[in-house]
Amino acid sequence: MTRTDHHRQRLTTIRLGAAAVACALLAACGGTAATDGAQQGAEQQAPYYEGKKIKLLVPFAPGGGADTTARLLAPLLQKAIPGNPSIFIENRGGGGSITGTNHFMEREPHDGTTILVSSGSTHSAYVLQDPNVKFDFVDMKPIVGFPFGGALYVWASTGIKKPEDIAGKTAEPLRFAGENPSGGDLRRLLALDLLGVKYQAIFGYEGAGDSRIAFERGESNISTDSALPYLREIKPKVDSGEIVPIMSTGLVVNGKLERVPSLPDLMTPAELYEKITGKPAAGPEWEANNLLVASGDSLSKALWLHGDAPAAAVDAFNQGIEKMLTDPAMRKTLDEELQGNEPLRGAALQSAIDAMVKPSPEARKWLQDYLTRRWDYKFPS
Amino acid sequence: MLDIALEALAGLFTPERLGWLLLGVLVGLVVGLIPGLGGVAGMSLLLPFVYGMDPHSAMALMIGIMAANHTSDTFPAVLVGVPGSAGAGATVMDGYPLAKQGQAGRALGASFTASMLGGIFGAAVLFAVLPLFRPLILAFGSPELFMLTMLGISTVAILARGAVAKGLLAALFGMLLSTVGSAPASPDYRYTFGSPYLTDGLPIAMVAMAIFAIPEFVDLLRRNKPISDVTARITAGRLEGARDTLRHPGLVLRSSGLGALLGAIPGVGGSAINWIVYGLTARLSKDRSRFGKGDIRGVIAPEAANNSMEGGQLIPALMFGIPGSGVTAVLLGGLILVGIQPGPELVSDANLPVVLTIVWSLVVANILATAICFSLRNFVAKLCLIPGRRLVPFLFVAVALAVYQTTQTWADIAMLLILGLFGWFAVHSGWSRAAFVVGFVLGPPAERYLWISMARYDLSWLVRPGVILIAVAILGVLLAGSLRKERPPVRDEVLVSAR
Repeated sequence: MTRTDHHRQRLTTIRLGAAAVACALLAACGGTAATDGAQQGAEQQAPYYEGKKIKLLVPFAPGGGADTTARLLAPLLQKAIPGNPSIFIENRGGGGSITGTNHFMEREPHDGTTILVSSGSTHSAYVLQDPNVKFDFVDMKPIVGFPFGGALYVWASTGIKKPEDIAGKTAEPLRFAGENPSGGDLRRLLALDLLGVKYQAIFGYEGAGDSRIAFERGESNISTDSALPYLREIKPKVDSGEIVPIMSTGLVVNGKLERVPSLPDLMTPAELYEKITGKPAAGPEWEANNLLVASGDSLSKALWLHGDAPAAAVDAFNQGIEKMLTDPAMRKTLDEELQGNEPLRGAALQSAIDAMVKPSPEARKWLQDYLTRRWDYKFPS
Repeated sequence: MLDIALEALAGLFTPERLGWLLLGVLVGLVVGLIPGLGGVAGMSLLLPFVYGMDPHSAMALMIGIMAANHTSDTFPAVLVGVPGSAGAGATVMDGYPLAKQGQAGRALGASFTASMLGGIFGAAVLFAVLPLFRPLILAFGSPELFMLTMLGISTVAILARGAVAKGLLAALFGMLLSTVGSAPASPDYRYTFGSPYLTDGLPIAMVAMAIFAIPEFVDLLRRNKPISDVTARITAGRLEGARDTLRHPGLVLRSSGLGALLGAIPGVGGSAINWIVYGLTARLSKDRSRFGKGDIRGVIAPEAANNSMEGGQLIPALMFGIPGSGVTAVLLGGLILVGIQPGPELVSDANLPVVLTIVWSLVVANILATAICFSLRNFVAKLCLIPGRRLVPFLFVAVALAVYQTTQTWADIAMLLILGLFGWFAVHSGWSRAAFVVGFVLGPPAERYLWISMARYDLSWLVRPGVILIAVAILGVLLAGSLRKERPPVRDEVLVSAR
């Protein structure tokens, strides 16, 4: 045997060895597959998400409201969804949540392994037709929505004694401290305008907390808060007579503005309007108000799948949400976060989304005119 | 009160909580060490684990990250002239020249000691001020906040080292760049050119990296020499550094106090604080000829301030739910996840133990972080001895990754290179990079609070007592500088690189 032959033989041996190993591996895999098949047969069908991972895309930087909601939901859903997929969070901030939401629609797989959490600012960018918005909620499948209504109140030093007084003469000029005439503040401002309140809007504050401090140090005398902080921190001052509550934001339920469940004593803007003017709160301007409330308060946060996600994925999520909302332990965790608001599902969820995505042409036109006239918006014609 | 405080301290020393604290400190040290990654990255990395933890452990973990991050970010700032996080920018000014002169060990020793003392001071302030905080924060209205940003801008005069006109222009250019994105008080986008990437403005972490890191990388590659000119006793002098810090108790106290105060006032912004403190320190020193060329005081002051600021920033975060920085924003998210709502009632009896755990965690984390940094120091300081062409590729990859992970768009890398090019020209034509960064970070709050002041008070805000008081302070700072004889700027190697 020559050297070359010897060499060749050794190579062959190695190849053979490798092939043997590969065969063994294949056999092992086949074996596992067969066992899996047997199990599947026994359980009818393996859960869609078994062994899968789900990416929960948060279109904001870590730390905000939507991020906190997502991090609260992830471990609950992980337990509740059949197959117990592991759920991890990816933050993709930028563009006031538009960038991340565009990315969700354009780049993420549509097989149910990526879901999105959106918030009021995502919805209002959509409603206000921000030119950067490349997504359409019509192309998404809603999983669950979380409403958070809020309250609007004034210092007693304004001379206002009861809610109706806000439209009349006040002891000091009314001032509202806000971030920007878009997003969250806009629906409060619109409600004040519809009620005929004379007020000055001061913008430039950094967020809700900053505006609250401005209220405390007297830079403003009208302020708003979502229900839980209102009940905890403002209500005691209402009881002691320092602060007068005016109204709640209301929530849009089946196309109508209803009171916020956790603030049953506070009128909605529409009720207050009817009380002040004696006229019914109807017409495109009130539809526009409801459009903003639906997108920002009724749907303060929402979870979405892609519209063409597999039916099995949608079913798995529906079952998971059902379990999360009925399991006492999970429900308890959830209720602390939800501030007494019932999550939106099924028909109620769809009606809130319809209010957001299918406004009447008159309401949309009216809103555009209002934004242009009152807040210097520029719409591409 | 004291017995609850001691109980909280004892509670922190259970193996479980101490373990979480240590984990937090380690993560904080790592993210601080890597240029461009900051506390926010570390916090969001560990946030998934917070859910379901007991509030004390969760706080120990998160505070650990927060405290340690500003201790270890000194390493790259001193050793390679690249701030480990945006809060360490001012440390570069004197720390890096010291490293070049072979005194890296001394600079690091001084810096870690100052960080620890500052951090403990911040915790003490947090503890002492928490019950009295409401009136304090309400005393600062928007006009006063605007004046504070002006106080910050006035430090540009010293940061520019004699070239005042150029410094001012650089600061104005920084302010101009900070206006990119959505406007603070109207529904407009400015200078976005229809690009969604620009709607949030340029992230400060990216700008700091581009301005400080990229030019340094280019020059290191060009020279291809180790950073330190002196190679013999690079790691010596650690105790000398610690002694330097202890020899300046007044400076440490003043810088920590200022750091805690500016941190506590929402709206000043964490990344501006170390610059303001650095600028004031240089301005108010008798002999300021060595600032920018390796004055140990230029290391001590910003390092004490950026650790004490954390204690200060926690006050508005805990009391009002106002995050003063990205790190406190994530911390607030974590608090809510463990079932604690920030707000005035956090100082109530029921929640006091958690607050005290936060205070003690700050103290213990600062001590731990300093101890670890001291023991790592010899090892890490040898980075100074590696030739540029071997060191820079690693650093560049780290910086590029860190910048990319914030928004995960290629535009981040492109902006890093474009602004880096600008930074490189700035260095070599004598434009103050520090002034640029101060303008960039103080631009948005200055605009915000001026806008609000005018809308709310017309011109009558100009005669508010607080406004006049701060105006006098600004004049004092400017005069204190110009009364002393100004030396003409020296264009030597060290000075040019430190800019």
